[in-house]
Amino acid sequence: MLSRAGVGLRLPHLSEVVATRPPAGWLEIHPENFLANPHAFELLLQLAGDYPISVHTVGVSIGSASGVDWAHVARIRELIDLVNPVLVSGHLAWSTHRGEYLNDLLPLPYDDETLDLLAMHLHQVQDGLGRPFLVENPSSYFGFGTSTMTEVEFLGELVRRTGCRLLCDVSNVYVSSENLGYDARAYLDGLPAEAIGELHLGGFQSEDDPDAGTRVLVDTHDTAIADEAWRLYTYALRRFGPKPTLIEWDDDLPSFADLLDEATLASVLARQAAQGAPHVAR
Amino acid sequence: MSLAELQQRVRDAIVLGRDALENVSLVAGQGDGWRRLAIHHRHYETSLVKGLLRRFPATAWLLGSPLLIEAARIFIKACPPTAPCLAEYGETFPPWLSGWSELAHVPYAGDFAALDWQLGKVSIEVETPAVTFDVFAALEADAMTAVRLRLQPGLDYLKAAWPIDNLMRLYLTDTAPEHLVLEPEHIWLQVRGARGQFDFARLSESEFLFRQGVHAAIPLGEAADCALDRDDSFDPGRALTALFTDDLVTSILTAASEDTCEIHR
Ligand SMILES: [Fe+2]
Repeated sequence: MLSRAGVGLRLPHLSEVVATRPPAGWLEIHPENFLANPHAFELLLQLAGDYPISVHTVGVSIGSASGVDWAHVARIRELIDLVNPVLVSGHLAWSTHRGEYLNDLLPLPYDDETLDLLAMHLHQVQDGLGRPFLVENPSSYFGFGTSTMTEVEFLGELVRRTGCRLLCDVSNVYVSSENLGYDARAYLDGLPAEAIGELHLGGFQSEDDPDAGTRVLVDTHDTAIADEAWRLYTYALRRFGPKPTLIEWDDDLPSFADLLDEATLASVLARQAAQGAPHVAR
Repeated sequence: MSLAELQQRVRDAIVLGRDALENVSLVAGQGDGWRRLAIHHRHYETSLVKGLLRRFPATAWLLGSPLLIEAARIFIKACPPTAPCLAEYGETFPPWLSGWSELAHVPYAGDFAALDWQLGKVSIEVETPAVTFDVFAALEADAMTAVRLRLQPGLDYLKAAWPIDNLMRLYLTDTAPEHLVLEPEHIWLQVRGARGQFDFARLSESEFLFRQGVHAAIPLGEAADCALDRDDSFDPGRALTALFTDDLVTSILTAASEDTCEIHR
């Protein structure tokens, strides 16, 4: 199951996918798009009979010191009970603060206080959803000077404490490694391979930072996957073995067929890795 | 500094665009952490402003995109989203626009934006099977006034002090004249939609009060009294029958005892 790569299903493609049932291996949705749209939810339920569905929330903020929005978790539970997803996931990040939703995945300091909070929230969220909740590594533009652990150490400790599984967003690893100046392959080497349950690939943009004389990679999900990310993906496949892989595209959407083309490439690379074939560079 | 304090400061930087956080150390490889933090501020602003523009297309037509963008930029600082489903963000934007001094010369802007919001809201709903009048007629006659009805999800009622429905039709049909004089006029509207479609129609004030009361699930007798208080020629029987013939009723709730009995068709 999920041996072929999946595609993120966004609302502008929904009617087309319902009408034409394109050959996607599986579909990943943001539940927040469907909970607020009963008509879209109705169409999603039609698709759930024909495609494996993965539920990837952007609104369950396990990193918020002011607490998790349990009413939102309950709404997602209702959706999950109807859709019966093959995977449920969210982010190593925070997005809400005291009842406000900041519409972004914001970075956390990696220290004992954050670890205690996330371990507690993760147990509670998994109880609330009645499912394992995969945690995705963020794309970062900066970190906090007060961090006492690297992100890899933090994720490893979170897995050790909670038994959670991880969603490794390969593009995020590349973006963060370029922005923060570390080795992306060493990052992948440091993750607990047995905990990896899903991989993501998404597009990013490069911006100049003229004052600092550097560039910054911004995780925009509005463009094709870069060659560097594909290369890192083949490395991740060798390190973790084939894993359910998703093509993420959220803005300036291309045709659904273009997304399927990227998914096909990911599937080919995964098959080659499984057969031990040499890496095919794009 | 606790995580809660840190997140409060980052929140202020993102929502309000403050460019310095006391006692917070950011690291960003070769880059400048403060400039990197501004990427999140920019994302907050551009994504929410874009979302509001998409949510209020007719209002953008009426006011022009630059003015609506200016309004949205101020609004998102004053009233950040409070829930993660962004399609639900913006319900308080119309009343906020009504009070925005820059729009004092467009006194109908808030009412118009409220209609814009409602049309978007009902158009993503689904219609459910309607109950027919004979199901209601089979109830005990003396229990009827205590009955409450549940109506279609894609239904709402709003009143305005300007003929914003006429203005909305100009937008929807792309037939706006070069100059238009709008005179104040009280109107009462029913907005209905489902699965990408929507429509709106004027009601008399008494019909509006009756339907609004039924929609709010007050007992039928009380809804009829609201309408009769306004207009003693109001005909409750005819108004009730119209709810059924318009396929608006999805269930009938009787409260003969403490238990609520729900009758579907
Ligand atoms: Fe991702």
